[in-house]
Amino acid sequence: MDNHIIDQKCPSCRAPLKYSPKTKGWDCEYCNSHFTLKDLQKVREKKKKKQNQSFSTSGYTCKNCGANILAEENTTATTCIYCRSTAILENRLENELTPNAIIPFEKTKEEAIAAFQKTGIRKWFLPKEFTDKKNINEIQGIYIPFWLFDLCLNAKISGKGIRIHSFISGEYQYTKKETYHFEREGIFPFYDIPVDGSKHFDDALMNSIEPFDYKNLVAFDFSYLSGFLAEKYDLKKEEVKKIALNRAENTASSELEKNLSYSSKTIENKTMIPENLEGEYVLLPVWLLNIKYQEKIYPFAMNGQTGKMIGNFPLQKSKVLLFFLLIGILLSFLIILIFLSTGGYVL
Amino acid sequence: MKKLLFFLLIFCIFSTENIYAKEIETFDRREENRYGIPDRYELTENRIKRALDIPYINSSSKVYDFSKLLEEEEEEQLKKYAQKLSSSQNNSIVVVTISDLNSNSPREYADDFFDYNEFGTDGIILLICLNSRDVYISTSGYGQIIFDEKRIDSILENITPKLSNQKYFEAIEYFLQEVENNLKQGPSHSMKHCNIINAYGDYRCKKEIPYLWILPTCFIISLFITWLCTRKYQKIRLATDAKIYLKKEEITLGKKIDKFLHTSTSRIPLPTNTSSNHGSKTHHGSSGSSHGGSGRKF
Repeated sequence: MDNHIIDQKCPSCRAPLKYSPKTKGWDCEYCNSHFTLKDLQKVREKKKKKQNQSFSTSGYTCKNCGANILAEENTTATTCIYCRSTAILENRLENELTPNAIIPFEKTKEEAIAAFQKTGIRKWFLPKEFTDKKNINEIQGIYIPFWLFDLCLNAKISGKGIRIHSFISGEYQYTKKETYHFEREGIFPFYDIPVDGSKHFDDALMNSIEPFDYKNLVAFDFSYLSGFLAEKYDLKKEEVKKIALNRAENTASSELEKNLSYSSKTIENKTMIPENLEGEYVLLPVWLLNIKYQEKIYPFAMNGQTGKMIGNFPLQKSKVLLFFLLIGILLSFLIILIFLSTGGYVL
Repeated sequence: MKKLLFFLLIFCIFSTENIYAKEIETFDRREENRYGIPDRYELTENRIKRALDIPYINSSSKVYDFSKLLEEEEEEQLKKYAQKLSSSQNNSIVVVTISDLNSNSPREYADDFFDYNEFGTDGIILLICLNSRDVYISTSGYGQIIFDEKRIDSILENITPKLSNQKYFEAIEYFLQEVENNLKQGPSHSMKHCNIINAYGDYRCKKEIPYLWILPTCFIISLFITWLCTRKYQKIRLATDAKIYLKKEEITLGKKIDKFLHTSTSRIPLPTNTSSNHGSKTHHGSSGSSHGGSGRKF
């Protein structure tokens, strides 16, 4: 059994209490009690009143693997979940930010495994044993830190465009090229562009499991973390906002270009001014799987809310080669057959 | 004495007739059914006009020396030769000499002489025009398959100097000998796989299946298809846009400027209508029949 740092204790019987994505609440395996968030918050309130302590966040760094773990200040960490090492340094940070919001897990571990196994369907080049359960080296449910950016982009583009008219008159074909100077501008509002706030997680992988449904974003509470792992962010808002800006600028530019009706165009000037840029620190649920196949590790991720499973699959070279040869031979046969049937006559 | 003179006179008249018996028999087209134009051609104004320009002769002679370039015995010998070649191969081998083309081109005259007389659909005709010094060879029907440009050029190459030296008999004899040789050899190499497809002598040639080209192109297409199918195996991609995070209803578009700067016009001349039948340089005569061949000056 995993040792979780965040161990919510069942108010009734003090057994470890985990968040259940299925029932969207906390189930105790031992006394069969079910608790909602309100229940747990009430319990905590009572506890705090007794102990007179504030609710603050701590970060822990594992000396062995460098994992940054998010934890409540007063929980005791003994083992690192990532590398099982017992060397954990408590690194209390002042004014550490608490996440604003969280999307709780909606998919269970079993659903993640099943989804992975399903990915093998209709992939002819995939080696058959790839989606075998035994290849799943590791599977972890992690709340990954994200920065969600809202911004309003004041975008302006200008450049030259060419319209071509072709017509025939007399014995000549005329081509008329009209050159125009164009300008387009607009204000584009973007909401909740997600940027991965941790160096540990591959940005491309995190991009690929987008989008998350932000309707299910709820106010953050530590209790949601129980039964799952959580990472603290190590990329600050200022460092990553340019990634969100870049994505927004590309979209704004292509939206403006949609309005151009030229046969060919060159954009000479682009001005993008972001306004009302706001960033929110949230935790989003992701099931991470590491598949080990033939001495290689294949990282897979499933969106813990929508169930979208993404990863790169190995190609069985022999199957690809066979397919290529088969199609090539089939096509040749077809074309030769067509030639023969028309008697191969050419004017 | 008087009886002797009388017989002498009669004899002279008959002998002179023999001397001038060389005149070629031509018939008046206006008295012939359809102006003497073979049934396979529809009567049109143009065709009638052209036919009237062409003498209507007895098609069994095969050699028509209007320009009197040959001696009687030479003409007889060549006639027999040409007739032998024509009947044995179902082709018409024709030789015609004239003095003037009268505003026709050698090609037109040769084509029409063959088409508007009863020579059949297949054959070859040699035309020699004295005053304009043109020699022309025209092929018709299956003649196009037997005689390609190469063979005709080689014949012309040989007989042109003969004609320049006024060796008319030798030139025509050579022509007939070459025709005999080529008939024995059969279809020319470049036309080996061609067949006549209609009464106008049009032909179509079989093109060999280009195995050399098919296989590589098919495998290139297969490569492309394979690439398409393997794309979904690499699904991890960095996002470069934020399209789904843009609230389209809230977009406000600002001013739109399209300012005309300048214009430039260029032109290219239209390609003229070149005939598509370049395989063996065939053309259609006024009758509509397909002919091959070429000519020279001597």
